[in-house]
Amino acid sequence: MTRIVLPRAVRRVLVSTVGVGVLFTAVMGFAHTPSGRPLLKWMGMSMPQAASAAGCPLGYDVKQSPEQKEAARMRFAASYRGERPALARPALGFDLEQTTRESLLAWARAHGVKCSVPRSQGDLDCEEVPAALFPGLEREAAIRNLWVTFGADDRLVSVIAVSRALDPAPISATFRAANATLVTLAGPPVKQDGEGSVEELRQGLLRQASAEYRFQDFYALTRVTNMGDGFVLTEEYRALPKVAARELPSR
Amino acid sequence: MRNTFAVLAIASAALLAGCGDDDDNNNMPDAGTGYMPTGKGPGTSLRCTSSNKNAWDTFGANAFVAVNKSIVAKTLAELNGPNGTANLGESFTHIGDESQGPAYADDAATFEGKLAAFLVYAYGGPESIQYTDGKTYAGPQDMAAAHLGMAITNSQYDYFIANMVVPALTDNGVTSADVSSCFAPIVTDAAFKASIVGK
Repeated sequence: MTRIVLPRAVRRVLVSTVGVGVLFTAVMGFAHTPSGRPLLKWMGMSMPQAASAAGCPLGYDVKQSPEQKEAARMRFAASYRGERPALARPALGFDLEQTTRESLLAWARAHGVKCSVPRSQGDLDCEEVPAALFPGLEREAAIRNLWVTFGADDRLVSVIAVSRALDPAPISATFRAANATLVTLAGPPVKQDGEGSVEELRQGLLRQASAEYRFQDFYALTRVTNMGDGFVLTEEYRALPKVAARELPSR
Repeated sequence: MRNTFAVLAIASAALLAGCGDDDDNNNMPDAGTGYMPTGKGPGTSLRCTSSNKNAWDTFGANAFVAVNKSIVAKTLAELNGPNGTANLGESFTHIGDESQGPAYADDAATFEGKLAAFLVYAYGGPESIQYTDGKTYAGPQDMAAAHLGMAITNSQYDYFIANMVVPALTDNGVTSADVSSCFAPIVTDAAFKASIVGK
């Protein structure tokens, strides 16, 4: 039997590689234990790719910190910001960057709407919000889930509403009303696909219509979909963070 | 170049699958045509409006890779966005963190490969593929087990299909008519949705 003797330099490299691997595995293993969570959080915050997710760099398993949420807002704004400011920023009757968490919860309590802190990230999930709670918006569809996010100052920065109905009529009407409100109060969409009429949605499964609005300080997206067992409307209303004039898109 | 490799790899897998398991294939040629699909997934019998063939045979490997990468990119953008996981729930969280349960064991690359294999299989392609990372992934997957413990809500499922999946298809040139005819029936199927929501 031939004994293979590795040169000392090769042995050192092998031992070092194995040692580093064992150490890395041990550290990462510990970091994923309850006792190691602070370490995991520190690692997540130090990696740019995981900047939006405190905790496991791959896992997104704990709530975002205010700083991380703000960083994520800036990244979103960099991709979706428009050239001109919106005339106004309609968001289902809420005031972006004005409505506080406390006032929104008070509004929900006053109308018997149940809001909770979701298991996933996000600040509030309000369920089964009746259409009648949005007077003046010509809304016909109730909101099944209202996902709400607040900024570092606890003021509203985004509202996402998911509405669903078996009948396409209220969903179609609400989609059209939402877009009419956006066009009138904020300005025209940058992109619109389809009208979202009942006839159009009934043409087939997953038929969609959507409209996207991009402004300097505001982003909105409305999308209606035939899901087969019902019709779904998703609405997004986001305040975009202010930036210095030199960083705005050139005209 | 990478996509070319993917196309060749998946096409090769498709060819091998087509040659290997004819005995198990219960598909019959479509009446009046010579078209006989070779897949076994639930979407094999669906027909796209544009071609009268199923989605795999209509669009092929390159398109499936592009759509898969588009779904993953949109999903990661959502998770890295201002709302984090709020809109999607935990379907895509804890990736690579087995301590959260077996459903979370896959790393991001493995998740992408598995999703590609599932889509290929479900829509009429072979039962396994070699993906762009050079690894082989199996198409038939237990959706209920894969989503166990995630407590995905109806709204989160709707949001994912409406805002990630359908735009990924249409962004890559699939017409609304083909989305309806040869893609939608799988993801809007009540039993399929029930295997994911509320687990």
